[in-house]
Amino acid sequence: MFQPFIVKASFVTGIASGALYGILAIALVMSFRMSRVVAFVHGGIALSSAFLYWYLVANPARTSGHGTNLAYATKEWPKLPAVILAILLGAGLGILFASVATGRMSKWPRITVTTFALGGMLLFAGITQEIWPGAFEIVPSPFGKGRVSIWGANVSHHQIAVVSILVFLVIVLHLLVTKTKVGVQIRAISDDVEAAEIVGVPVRRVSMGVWCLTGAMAGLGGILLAPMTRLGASVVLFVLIRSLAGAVLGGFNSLPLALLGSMLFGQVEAHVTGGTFGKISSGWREVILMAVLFTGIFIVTRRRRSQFRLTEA
Amino acid sequence: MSKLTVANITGLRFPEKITGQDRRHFLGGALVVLVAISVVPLFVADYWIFLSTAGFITAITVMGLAIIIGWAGQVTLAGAALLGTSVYITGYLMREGLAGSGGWPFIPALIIGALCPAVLSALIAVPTARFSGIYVMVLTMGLQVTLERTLFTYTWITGGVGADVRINRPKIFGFEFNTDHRYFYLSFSVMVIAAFVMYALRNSRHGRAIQLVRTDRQAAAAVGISPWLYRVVAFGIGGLFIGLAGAMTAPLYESPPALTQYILFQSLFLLAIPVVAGTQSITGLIVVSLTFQILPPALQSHRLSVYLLGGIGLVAGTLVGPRGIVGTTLDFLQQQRDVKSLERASANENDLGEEATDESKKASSNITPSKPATESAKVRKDE
Amino acid sequence: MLEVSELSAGYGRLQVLFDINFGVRAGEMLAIIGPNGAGKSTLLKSLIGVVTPTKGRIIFEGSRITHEPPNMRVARGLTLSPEGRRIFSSLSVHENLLSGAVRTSSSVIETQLEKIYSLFPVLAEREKQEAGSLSGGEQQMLAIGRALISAPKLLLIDEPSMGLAPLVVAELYDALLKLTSEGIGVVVVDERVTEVTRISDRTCIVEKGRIVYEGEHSEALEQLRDTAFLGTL
Repeated sequence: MFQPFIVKASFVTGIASGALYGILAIALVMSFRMSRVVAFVHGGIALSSAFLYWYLVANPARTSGHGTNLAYATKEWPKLPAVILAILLGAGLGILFASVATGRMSKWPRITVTTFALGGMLLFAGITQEIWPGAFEIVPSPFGKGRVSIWGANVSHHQIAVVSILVFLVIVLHLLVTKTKVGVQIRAISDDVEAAEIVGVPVRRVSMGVWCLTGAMAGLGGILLAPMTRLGASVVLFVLIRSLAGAVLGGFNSLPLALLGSMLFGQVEAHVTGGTFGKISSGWREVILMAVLFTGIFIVTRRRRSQFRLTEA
Repeated sequence: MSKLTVANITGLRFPEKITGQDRRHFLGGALVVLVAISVVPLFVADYWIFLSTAGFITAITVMGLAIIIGWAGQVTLAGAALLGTSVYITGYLMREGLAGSGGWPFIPALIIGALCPAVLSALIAVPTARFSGIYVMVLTMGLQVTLERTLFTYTWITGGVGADVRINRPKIFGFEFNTDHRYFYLSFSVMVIAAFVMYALRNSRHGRAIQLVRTDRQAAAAVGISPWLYRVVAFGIGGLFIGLAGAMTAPLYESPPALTQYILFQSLFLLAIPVVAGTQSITGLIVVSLTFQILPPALQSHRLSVYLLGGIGLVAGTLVGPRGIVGTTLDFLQQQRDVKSLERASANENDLGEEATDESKKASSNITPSKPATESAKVRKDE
Repeated sequence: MLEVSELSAGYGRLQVLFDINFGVRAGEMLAIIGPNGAGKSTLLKSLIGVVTPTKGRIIFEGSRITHEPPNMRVARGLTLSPEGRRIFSSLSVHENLLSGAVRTSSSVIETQLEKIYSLFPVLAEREKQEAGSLSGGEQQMLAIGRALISAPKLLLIDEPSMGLAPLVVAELYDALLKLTSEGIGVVVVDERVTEVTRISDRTCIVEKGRIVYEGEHSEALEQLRDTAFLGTL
C-alpha cells in the first residue's frame, strides 16, 4: 500500500499546487485586511486574466473546435508581453472594484460589499463567457514545457516557477509591510480604519493601491493556474475555494497562517489524489476539505470573536 | 386568543390588522399577477409557457433565499446546490422503474425532496451562531462545492449524461398534470401558496422575532430571543422553500436536468434576484424571478448569458443599496406619499416614535425630522 | 487660528450638532465640557473631518477646510487624539507614532520624535514594544504623541483622562500646558470638569448639540456648571 515513490511525487506536486493557492490566498488576505471584505472578485479577475493570456499566446491550431468555424482565432504573441498585459488587466480590474468598495460602499455593511464582490466575480465570468463562450482550453505555460527531476519526482519548469514566484512575492510583501512607511499605513488601516483616517492616513488611496496590487496578484494567479489544468470558469472556482480555505485558516488576517493553510491543502490534496492513502474518490476529497475549512472557521471565530463583532454587518 | 389552534401553536397567523398601505400593495400586486396569469397563456407559444413555469419555480427558490437574506441577514451561496439536491432526489424517487413501474407518487417524493435541503440548510446554520456574515458565506460556499462534488457525481441519482431516465408529470388526487399548460397552472398555484405562507410567516410572532434578531442582536437576546435558534430556523425555512422549488422542478423537465444548472455560479445568479428585488416585496421577487428566467432565452440572439445577467443584477442591486432596485423604487414612491401626508398632517407628531425603530428600513429616505439631540445621541450610541 | 461658524452635523438622519460657533487662538487651551451625548466627540470628529458637516464653515488659518478629508487637515497642522485612544494595538509604539506622519518630512519627524520622547519619556523606553501591551496611561500618551508627530499647530484631544488615575491625569495635563506654552493651540474635551477648567484659558459648555456657554471667567462658569447640568453628570 505505502509507496515512497508516490509519497515523494505527491509531496512535490502538493508544494506546487499549494503555492498556487497561496498566491491567491495572499491576495484574499490583503484585500480583507484593507476592506474587511472577502474578495470573491479575485476569482473573476483570475479568470479574466487567464482567458486574456490564453487568447494572446495560444496557437489557434490547438484550441478546442479547431478546424470548425467555432474555433477561436487566438494570437500567437510572445509570452512576456501577454503576461504583462494580463497582469495589468488584473490590476485595472482590482482598481475598478476598489473604486466602488472604498468609495460609495466604504461605510456600508460588509456583507453587502462582499455580495458586491460576488457580483463582480459573476460579472467578470459572464463577460469572458460572452467573448469566448464554452471555451475549455489547454493553455501553454509562460515557462515552456521543460521538466526536470527533483528528488525523484518529475517536476515541470512551470511548477518550479510557481513556487519561486510565491517565495518572491512573500519576501517582497513582507519587506513592504514591515519596513516601509506605506507598510505602517497598511497595517494601521487593517488595525483600525477610523483611527487611521483620523491620524491622517489617506485611507482610500492606500486601499486602492493594495487592491490594485492584489488584483495584479489574482491576475498572475490566473495565468499560472491555467497551464496546470485546463482553462474554464469551474477550474478557477476550484482553485479559488482552496485559496479561500487557506485564507480562512489564517482568519483572513494572518499571511503566514494563510500560506500554511494553502500549503496544507496542497499537500492533503496531492496525497489523496496521488494515492498515498490508497484510492479515495474525489467526492471524499471535497468532504475532507470541507471538514478542514469548517474546523478552521470554528477555531478562528472562537479566537477572534470580539474583533469580528466590530466588523459584523 | 388562548384557543389551542395550529396557528397559535406555530405562531403562524395572519396579522390581525393589515395596515392600509400593506393591503393595497398586496392586493394590487396579486391582482396584476392574477390577470397576467389568466390571460397570457392563451396567447403565447408553448415554449413561453414552459419558461414561465420555470420562472414560477424560480420564484419559490428566490423566496427561500429572501427569507435567509431578509430575516437572518445572511447570504447563502448554496442555493443552487440545495435546489439541485431536491431536484435529483425527488426525480430519483419519481422516476420510472423505481418501486415497481411508475416510481413514487408526487406528494411523498416532494416531501422527502423538500426536506433534504431544509435539513442541510439548517444544519449548516447550526454552528454559525457567532459567525459574522462573511464566514457564513464561505461556509455555504463550501456546502455548495461539497454537494457539487459528492451527491451530484453519483450518476445513479443524477441520471448521468445521456441516460434514458424518465420522470412523469405528477398526478395529484387522480388528476394528471400531464401537459405544459396544466403544469403551468399547478406551478403557479404552488407559488401563490408559497407566497402566502411567506407573507403569513413574516407577520407572525416568530417572523417578527427573526427580524428583531437581525436588526439588533443584543436587544433580541435581552428579550429572551435566541439569535442562534432563529438563524437556524430561518435557514431551515429558506431551505424548505428551495426544496419545494426543487421538487417542482423534477417533473418539469421529465428527465433529470443537466448538472450545470446547479453549480456555484448558478447560486450567484439566483442570489442576484433577491438582491435586485429587495426582500420586502414578494410581488417584486416574483416579477424579477420571471424576468430573470425569461430574459436570457428571449435575448438569445444578443447572446445574453445567464452569468452576465446575474453579474449585472448582483452588481447593480448591491450598488443601489440594501433595499434592492425594486425596494428602492418603492421607497421613492413611498417617500413621495409620505411627503404628501406629512404636509397634510404636519401637526400630528404621533408617528415619530415608530419611525425611529424603522430607521434601518428607511435609511434611504431623506425626510429629516429634527429630533432633540439627546435622543439622537442615544440612538447613535446604540449603533 | 480656528474659526467655526454655524456648524451643524450628524449621522445620517440624526442631527447631533446645531449651529456651533467658536474659535481657538494659537497657544490657547480651550476646554469643551458637557453631559454625556451632548455632541462633544461629534464636534471634534467633524473638526478633523471624519464626520461631514451638513451646514456651516470651518476655517483653519485662513483656509476653508469644511469639506477637506482628514489627511489634508492633518497636513495643514490640525490633529486629533480620538476618544478611547484608538491606538493601533498590533503596531509597535514607534510605528504608531510614525502612522501619524504621512506627509511629514523626515527631519521634522526626527525633531518631533525627540520632543515626544522628552514629553513622555516612558514611550522612549517602550519604543519597540507592541502598543496593545501598554497601560492605559501610556496608551493615552501614545495617542497624544501620535497626534504630535506631524508638528501640528492645533491639537484636539478627546477624553484624555478617561479611566486614568489622578496622578497620571496630572502628568498629562502638565504635558498639555507645555504644548500651549510652545504656541500650540489645544482643544480638550473632558469629563473631569474641575481639573480641566482649572488649566484651560477658556471653556465652552455643550448641551444637546449647542454651545450654551462660552467664556474666560471660571467663576461665572462654576456657577453655571453647578446650576445647569452638574446634576446630570
